[in-house]
Amino acid sequence: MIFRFGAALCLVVLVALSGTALEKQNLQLKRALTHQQYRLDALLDSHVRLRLDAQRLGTPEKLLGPLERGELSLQRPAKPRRSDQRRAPLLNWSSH
Amino acid sequence: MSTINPHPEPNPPTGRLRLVVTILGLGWLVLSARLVQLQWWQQHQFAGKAEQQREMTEEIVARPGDIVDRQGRLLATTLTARSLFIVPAQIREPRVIASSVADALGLNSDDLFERISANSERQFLWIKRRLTDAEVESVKRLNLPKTSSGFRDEYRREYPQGTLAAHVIGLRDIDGVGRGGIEERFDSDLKGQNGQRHVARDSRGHVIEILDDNLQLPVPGRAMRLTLDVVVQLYAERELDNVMREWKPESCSAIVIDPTNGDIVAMATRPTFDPNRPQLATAESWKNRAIADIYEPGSTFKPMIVGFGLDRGVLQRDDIYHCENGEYRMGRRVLHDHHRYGRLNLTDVLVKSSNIGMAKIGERMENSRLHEAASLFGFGRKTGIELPGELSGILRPLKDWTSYSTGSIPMGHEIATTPLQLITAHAALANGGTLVRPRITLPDPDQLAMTVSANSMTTPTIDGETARWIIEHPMQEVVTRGTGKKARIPGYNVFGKTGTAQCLSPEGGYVHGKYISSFVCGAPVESPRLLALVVVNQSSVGGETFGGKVAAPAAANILRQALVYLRISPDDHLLRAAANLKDDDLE
Repeated sequence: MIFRFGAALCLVVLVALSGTALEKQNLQLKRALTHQQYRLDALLDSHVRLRLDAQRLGTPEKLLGPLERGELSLQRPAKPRRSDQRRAPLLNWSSH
Repeated sequence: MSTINPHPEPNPPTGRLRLVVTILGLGWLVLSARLVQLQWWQQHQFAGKAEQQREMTEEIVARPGDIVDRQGRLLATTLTARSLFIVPAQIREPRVIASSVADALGLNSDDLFERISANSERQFLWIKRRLTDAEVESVKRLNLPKTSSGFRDEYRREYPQGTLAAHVIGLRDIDGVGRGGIEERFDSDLKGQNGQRHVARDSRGHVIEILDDNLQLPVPGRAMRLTLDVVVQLYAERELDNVMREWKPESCSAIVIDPTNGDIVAMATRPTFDPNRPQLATAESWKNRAIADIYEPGSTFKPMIVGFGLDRGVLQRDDIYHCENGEYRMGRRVLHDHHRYGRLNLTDVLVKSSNIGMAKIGERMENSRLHEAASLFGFGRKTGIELPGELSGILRPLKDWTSYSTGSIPMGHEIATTPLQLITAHAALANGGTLVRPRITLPDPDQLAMTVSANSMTTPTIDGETARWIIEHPMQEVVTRGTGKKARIPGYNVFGKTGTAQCLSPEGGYVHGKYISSFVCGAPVESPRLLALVVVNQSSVGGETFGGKVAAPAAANILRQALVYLRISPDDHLLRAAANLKDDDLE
């Protein structure tokens, strides 16, 4: 009798523990998903900011005058100012 | 004998005990009834209230789409920006808060204090929306209590090209609603569709969980690609700035169009505004004068009449007109030319822009054909460009025309047009007689080349051969030896037409001494790729400001720079001839 009762109790506890573990895993996944969503938003915003900065720096309004006055060359420089390979900084984040 | 009862009967309850039991019973009954009421009858009501307090629906604002030019250069984009709000009901020392926040944001401290005081009972009040990064940092340094203030993320529209094409792009106001230009016309496409999410909050109002059972993701706004080319647009705007400096007009506008498909490559207006700083704009600067200003086209209208007359067989290319030595009585009025011309052929009537010659053409064509010509080339109705605020111009019904109209209409009077209508009509001559609907947006985001769109709306006007003759003879000779000599471009065969018209008075009639000077030109004659129009409204320098003097140099400069930029090869023979001419001049 005691054995049966103990077995039933263990079963109930096991089921409860598995349910809790599953729920916890589910919550972790949801949190990770939200985190990714947030990162995506942040990356998108960073991309927009960088693109905006790049466009602002290279607006025809800024470049046309110096080009016409010969202050800027249309030719590509033989030796680029930066020799290191440029990496996309926004893709270097880690998940921890 | 008395016996002792071992199980004595319990004393019957006294009245007091009964009362207590009854009260307790009633109490339990009331509680039970209340339980039933709460859990059964009013269950939904209270469950709803609890849910309302715990859960909240948040709107997820969609990111508005970008606007780019035909080469993909950014004209408008959207950044996330933080907006500062406070909870006035939670603020104990409004004067201190107002002072510190005003210092950080560059606001007036007294005004802010008054605003906070006037809304002291409210739970939400915007202080400043769409802060810059520096302003956000300044506010963070204040360490304001979190219970009485906070930031909310909003979207801020940025226009990296500044004032460039401001009238075409328009702007988004503080609430994200498109005002003017593409922003207004395509507001629903650009702003996208907001989403929704349900969140659970704790007792302090902090979000503790995002409930994804009813999640509606936002749909970002559609990106728009315009037909404008920022570089050509810049050429047009620089020339208009030069015109404003040199001739000091009230306003001026310029349009560059690809006549083959109606693509508007540039559309500029002065005065203008900066969409990044709309608060600095003047009342006159909001109007896109290229589509919302109407004026009498004057002589720039003449080629359409001649083209129509030739096409219908009323006129012949070798016709000769006697221009009465500069004075011609037509009914009760006397017409004058700027110079005393005798006999002119049809080409010379246009080259020298003789009003008397055109009046005689009008007499030959009669009012019905003149009206048909104006109508056929799109005057009196909107072109249908995808911009708000376009005017249809004025083309009165034929029944309202008089014998005056027979002389006035052929010289571009008694009708009113927008600059866009005029250049669209000239584009029909340049492309071989097809009136194309001008467009400002490219239907396909990948479409970069200037190619004829399959779905552009077109209407045939006159025969292609006649249109070509008008371009290759009278209009080219306007530039080589006529009123538009200042529009010559070395290396290119240019065609054009000058126009000078008196300003219309709002009270009727004309404003004495005020002129609208215009010039429309295109190149190369052999296969026109671009057309440019410059309209200068009421120059305040000089006397009668002719189109060939005021507008022609600007239009030719825009056209020359655009042709070079678009790598449209010049003619080597013409280049050599121009160089020789220059050398001769130097010698």
